[in-house]
Amino acid sequence: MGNEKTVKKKTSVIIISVILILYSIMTLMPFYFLGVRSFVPTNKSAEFHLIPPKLEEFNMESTYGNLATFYNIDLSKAKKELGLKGYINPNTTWLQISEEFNIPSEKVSEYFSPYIKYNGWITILTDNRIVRSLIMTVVLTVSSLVVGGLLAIATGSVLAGFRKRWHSWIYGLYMLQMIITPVMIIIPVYLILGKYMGLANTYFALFLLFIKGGAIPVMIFTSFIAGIPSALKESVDIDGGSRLQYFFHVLLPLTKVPFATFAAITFPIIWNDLLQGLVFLKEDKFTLIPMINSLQGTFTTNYQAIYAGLCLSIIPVLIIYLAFQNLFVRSALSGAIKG
Amino acid sequence: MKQQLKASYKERQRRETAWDIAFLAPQFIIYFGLTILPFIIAIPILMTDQIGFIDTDIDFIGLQNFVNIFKSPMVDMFLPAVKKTAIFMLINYSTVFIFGMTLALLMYEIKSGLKKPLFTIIYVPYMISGLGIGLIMLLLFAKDTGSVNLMLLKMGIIDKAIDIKDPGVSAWAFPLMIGWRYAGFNMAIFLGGLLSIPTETIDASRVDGAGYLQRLWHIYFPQMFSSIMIATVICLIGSWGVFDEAVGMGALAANKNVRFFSILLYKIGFAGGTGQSGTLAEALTMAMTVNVPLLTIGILLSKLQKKRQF
Repeated sequence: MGNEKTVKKKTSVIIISVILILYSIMTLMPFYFLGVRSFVPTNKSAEFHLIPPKLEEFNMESTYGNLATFYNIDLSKAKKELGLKGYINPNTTWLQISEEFNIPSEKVSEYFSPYIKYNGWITILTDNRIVRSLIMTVVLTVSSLVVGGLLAIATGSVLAGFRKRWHSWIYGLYMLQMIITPVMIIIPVYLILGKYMGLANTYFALFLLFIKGGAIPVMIFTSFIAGIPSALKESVDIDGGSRLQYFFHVLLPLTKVPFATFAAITFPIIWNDLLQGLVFLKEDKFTLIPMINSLQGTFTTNYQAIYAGLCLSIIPVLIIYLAFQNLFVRSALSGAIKG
Repeated sequence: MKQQLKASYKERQRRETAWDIAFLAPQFIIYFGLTILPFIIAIPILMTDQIGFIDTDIDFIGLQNFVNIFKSPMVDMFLPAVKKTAIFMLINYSTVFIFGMTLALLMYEIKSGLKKPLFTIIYVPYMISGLGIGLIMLLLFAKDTGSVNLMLLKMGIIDKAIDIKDPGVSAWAFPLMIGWRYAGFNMAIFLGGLLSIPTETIDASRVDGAGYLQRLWHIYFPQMFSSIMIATVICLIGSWGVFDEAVGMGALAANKNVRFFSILLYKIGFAGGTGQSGTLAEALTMAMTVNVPLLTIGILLSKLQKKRQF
């Protein structure tokens, strides 16, 4: 009887595991297809590809103009680097051009073949606007995390333990952020930052929005610092140390773990921001995600480039996520319990 | 002597408070200015005819804006967007349970080393930008080039491609996509609730011979009340703030099926000159008409959750 029950239980656990594994595969599939599609040229995008198709070789019979139309290749740059001069009829083939200008055909195909083979990725990685927006996004994200983290630690250091009544009021105001979505207040926020403070089209406006803190950072640091023995603070007091000394020499070194948790949760929120970047920045200053959004306008049907750009925006988040997944899983579960 | 001590105690208290304020102020000023103050500065603007951000000729018009948004032409944009978002919210709320709750209950039953990698994978879509998720949906289900469409056609499972931009398909596919994206997030909330149930309670019910459904109804759900409330509040409020995923699916371009309330606000507020009528004050009025009741419900539900908890 008891044996039968364990067998039954074991089978149900196996069935459940299989269901969950299938769901996980389904969850990963879209990202796999995204990777594959960043290598599928537009002219093959109406066929199904389970793996990236065989890379296309450069065809000397293709015409001059088609390279720009189908592959977004910068022809004026190509002309300069291949040593071509004067007007070239878009309908001439590269075979004709190489004969006319006396350039060995190997040189031509060598020059173009990477552009044809890895069109999406080369288009993205050689585009100055995209590289610049990637760098700016990294700078903005890292600086916001460091400053926002320090400010939230300072907040937590006061609120921990709720020594005074008004401390819990402040905490309550921070908790409100959980139910105030950015869209809800974006118009008045733009009035305050953009119009009254004159910060429209500046990265500083976004920086302020990213370091403003909110429910999760304040919750993380307040609860962590509340768990630090008060004897530590008292010993600094007795030695005649100030609050600043306590903060920098005792508290900060202790908050490495909660800071990592804070950074792991906040990083994707900052990195993935679309709305605030769209609202506050003009196109030439876009951060990465608004820039990816504008790719559809820039590259229209060059899906390969759009998907490569999307990959570029996803890969850093995935790396950070996988590197810190322990923190994520733990904080996701414990945060939920505390509410 | 006693008085001296009292004076020094008071002095210490005052110094303490000064330090408290010095440590709190930097972040709180920014937080207050960019989260709470927006509601306050919105109030006077609601009663004006301010057209855009650079309008200089602003007149007081009382509560006229509240009338205007229920009159043509504003009402023709306002009500459809609200209706679309409300329907989305309802379907989206069901996906919280279809994905999050189901996954949490399944996950709770397995205790092996499989649990952590599965958790990690299921959480991945929540890490990716909403814009990316929207774009990926198009990559998978666009009528002519969607990878899943092409795969299903090739395998002979379907004989006509699924068109993600068809209104009927979109109404279901969009909330399902959001449900999938937040599956890990909601699962974590519910799993947290499940794991906080004392195992003795569950063991006792097992000994008493309670079946799985009985356990679900009489033990799991009641004990998870707080988690269910949190997920409910986040889904309710979040549904009205959905933006990135809709933009990814082309809401700011040609896709009318995903023009939710948030997209309307953005368009009137920031995409001026694109043929969108309506003033800034009217957009703000719409925002407050929807959001103030929403926030009130959110706060009440959170209060209810806390009351049950303690």
